[in-house]
Amino acid sequence: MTGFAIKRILKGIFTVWCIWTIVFFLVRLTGDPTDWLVEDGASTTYVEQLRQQLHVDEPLHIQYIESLKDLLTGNLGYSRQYKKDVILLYKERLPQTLKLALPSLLLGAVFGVALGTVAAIKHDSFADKTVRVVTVVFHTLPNFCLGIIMILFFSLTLRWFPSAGSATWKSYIMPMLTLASGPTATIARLTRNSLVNTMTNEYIDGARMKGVSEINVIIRHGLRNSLSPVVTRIGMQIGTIIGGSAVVENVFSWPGMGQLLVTAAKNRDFQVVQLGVLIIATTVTIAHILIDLSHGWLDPRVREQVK
Amino acid sequence: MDNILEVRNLRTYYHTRTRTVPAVDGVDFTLKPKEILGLVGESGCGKTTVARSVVGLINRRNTKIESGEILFKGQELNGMDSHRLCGIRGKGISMIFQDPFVSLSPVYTVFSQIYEVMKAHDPEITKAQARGRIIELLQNVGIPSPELRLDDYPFQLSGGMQQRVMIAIALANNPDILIADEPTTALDVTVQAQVLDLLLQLRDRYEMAMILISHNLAVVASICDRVCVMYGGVVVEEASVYDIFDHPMHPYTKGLMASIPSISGDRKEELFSIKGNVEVIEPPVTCCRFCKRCERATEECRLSEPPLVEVGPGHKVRCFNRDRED
Amino acid sequence: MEDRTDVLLEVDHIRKDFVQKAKKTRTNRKGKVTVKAVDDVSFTIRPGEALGLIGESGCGKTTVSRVVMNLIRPTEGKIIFKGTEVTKHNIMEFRRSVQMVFQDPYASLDPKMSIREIVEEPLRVHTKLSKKDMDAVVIPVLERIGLSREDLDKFPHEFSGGQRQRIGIARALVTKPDLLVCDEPVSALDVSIQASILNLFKTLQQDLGLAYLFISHDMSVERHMADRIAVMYLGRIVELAETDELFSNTLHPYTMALMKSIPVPDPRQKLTREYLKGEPPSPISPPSGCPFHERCAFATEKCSQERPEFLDVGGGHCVACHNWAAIREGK
Repeated sequence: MTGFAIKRILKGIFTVWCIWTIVFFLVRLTGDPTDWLVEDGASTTYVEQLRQQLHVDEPLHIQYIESLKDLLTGNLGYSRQYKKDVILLYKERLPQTLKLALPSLLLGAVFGVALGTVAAIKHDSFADKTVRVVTVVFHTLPNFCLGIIMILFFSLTLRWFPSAGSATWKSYIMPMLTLASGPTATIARLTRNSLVNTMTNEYIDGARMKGVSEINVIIRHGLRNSLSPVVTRIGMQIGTIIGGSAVVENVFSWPGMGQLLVTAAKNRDFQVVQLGVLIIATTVTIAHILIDLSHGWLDPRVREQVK
Repeated sequence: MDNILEVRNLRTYYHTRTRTVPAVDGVDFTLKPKEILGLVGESGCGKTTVARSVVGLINRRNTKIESGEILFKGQELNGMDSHRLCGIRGKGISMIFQDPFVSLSPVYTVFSQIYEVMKAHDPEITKAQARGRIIELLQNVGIPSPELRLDDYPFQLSGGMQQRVMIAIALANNPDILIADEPTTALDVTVQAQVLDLLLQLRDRYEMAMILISHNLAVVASICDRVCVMYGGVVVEEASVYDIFDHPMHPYTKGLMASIPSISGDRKEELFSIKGNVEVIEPPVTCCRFCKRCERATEECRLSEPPLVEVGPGHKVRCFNRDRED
Repeated sequence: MEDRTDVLLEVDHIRKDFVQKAKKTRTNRKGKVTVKAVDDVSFTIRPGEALGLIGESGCGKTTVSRVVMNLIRPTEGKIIFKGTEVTKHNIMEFRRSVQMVFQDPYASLDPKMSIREIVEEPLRVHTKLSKKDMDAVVIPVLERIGLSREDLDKFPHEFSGGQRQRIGIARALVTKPDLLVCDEPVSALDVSIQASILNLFKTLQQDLGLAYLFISHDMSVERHMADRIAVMYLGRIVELAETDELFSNTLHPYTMALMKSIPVPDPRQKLTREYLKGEPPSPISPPSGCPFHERCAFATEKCSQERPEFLDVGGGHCVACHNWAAIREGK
């Protein structure tokens, strides 16, 4: 198992490096950042000076090697736009995003599994059909759409929740619901299908024939054996949620990392974009490693294979 | 009390969107303590549905027990609330299934699967108390060095060992009845012989009655005391194992026996084969269910269903032409 | 050796290894093990003869059928058909002459194809017949196996298991093969249906002079169908003889155990207590010497050290056992 974990972590580091490299070249394809940083009519010498300062005058491969060195030494750069060290910038913004993303993920997981289980047990009933229809709606509705609808309805018409900012607990409700809607729907559908499938297995009847009560049959044997794909999907939702937060934070003017990233990309603030992507890539990669390890924990057959 | 299980006029129908399939359509049988009763027939004859109806293991969404009494030690099981039924499953009546690989939960160890059935009927029992009993059980079902097997998962065991674990689970609470649904069909012949012998020995050791469901007449002949032959959801012939093999009376029973290639005696060029296929007849049934495939069917057979008639001590046949020689 | 002209198919010392992942250890750095699924198997089939291949699950009988069909390449050895070795140059001709019938009549027919398409498919591959000519071939074949012209445009789900198996046989017959490889063709069927399919196989053998490689786990089915029977254990043939000879003069202890284990439909013949103990060893780490010696009642010191050769002990009765002579004396 340890060998498997180490191998998996090394693969993860490689993935993150690949993503970082791609992003490095992608942002530089968008053009020269100095265009945004200097005012119109600035002298060419000033522009040249700035270009040297930013190292954008050097050939790309030299820039790449320099950046890689900086990355490894922890010198991640300086945001021209915010006039701040990027690490400090993310120290402010990241917690804001996490405050939103983590509860949303939890909400999605708990509600998703609960709804999926109910739908599966009452399979083909009215409750099941309702869950199926509602989840399709939330699955297909884009975050920004749902966000705007909520603002229109709950903030502007009913005046229950504020439409922007992160001042009170009330500010959390709408962005969290928006962010959790997609994952809840996905997880609910998957849990339902997986559980319906598991419940047709003969070992379910085997458990019933032991005299185990139906609720314990569902939890101990049904859910336990359906969980592998569900856990995978929950882990993958981390990517969806962080990606979604870029949109949701903009809709609700939430001062988080997503909002920062969008502005930085617009302004060719390379260092900010690069660190942002690095953080997201690392988080998603770690999530995937945890998913893989959880399979070993959930399923003895997987444990046997990786031994 | 004479009979440990009495089933009277059991009807279990399976409903699809377009039609009703009478999987079991009026089955009566009794089971005495320590008796091994064989339910034999081809796929679709209703033998498994009978067993599943007895313990309430039917898919309630599309299957319904339409009528019937299922008396286990005098208690009515049909319509019993699920809490009391859970108290009987795994303690009064246990069941083992055809394919042990899919009937054992894949993610739990041998120990925890057996512990679960003990715990379900004795919430006080601790793992330490159970351990000794589980090792003894595994020994009784013929698992070598059981201490080493306790922490194995089902996929680490061979098919024969898995079926033995299944049997250990079924016996953990000393049941009065063991229902074995095709217990050896998924196993190799040499392992089948081991498991059949084990079931016979366990019947004596645990003093339990057994219902053996099988499509294989030879398996039934080798361990059963009494046999019910089923066709189209009803019992067509019931007799002691000797009577049924010595003097089969129903044309279906005779046909089944003639269609098995034999392992001894002369090699036949051609086997007897029952013409046609099993057909679903929707209720109400107004003919003999076997008449379309029967060589001796008469007009009477096409107009009304023959009753199950006692023709000798404990020998019952459902056929109008039972006395005709052919 | 037999007269070559009298041999339809010769399987010559085939071996098939599968490489499996295993735990990496100091002695096994690559973490791979070789499983000998089939180990040095040879037999011949004469024209019009049914050769039965029997054994328990995991003994390699299905692998043999797949090697014979050239669906997988053997690691060693060759398949000789009508005197010529089967290579990729003459594989099409071979495939026309050797057809296969599968175990599961539900899984082996494509549910989206009509009976006409299913049965015509081998013709489309092997011939350039027009649509009309194809009907002229297909309809007699369907009638021969007990279906009719009206069934041509139906789909598999409209038929019962037994009828589907007949369709599978029809598909195998349209190219007028010399040999049918049947892998457990009746084990998924009910007894009454099984009898009619076995009768059909017998009739086809008599009428068309078909030869069979008939694979089964059921001794009584083999006894009914096969002219000669080969018994496999752990990837090897341990005994091969004419059917009547095999039953009346069994020489290998495994064959004897197999026969004793079969329950008989006679309540007076109570269950044997002489069944084999234990289960077949894993082909990943087969025992030394004779692969059966650990479970064998006749095993001697020699059996655990030396692998017995597969010998013809007279009249084409071949056996791989050190003690065959003693066993024959003891009878």
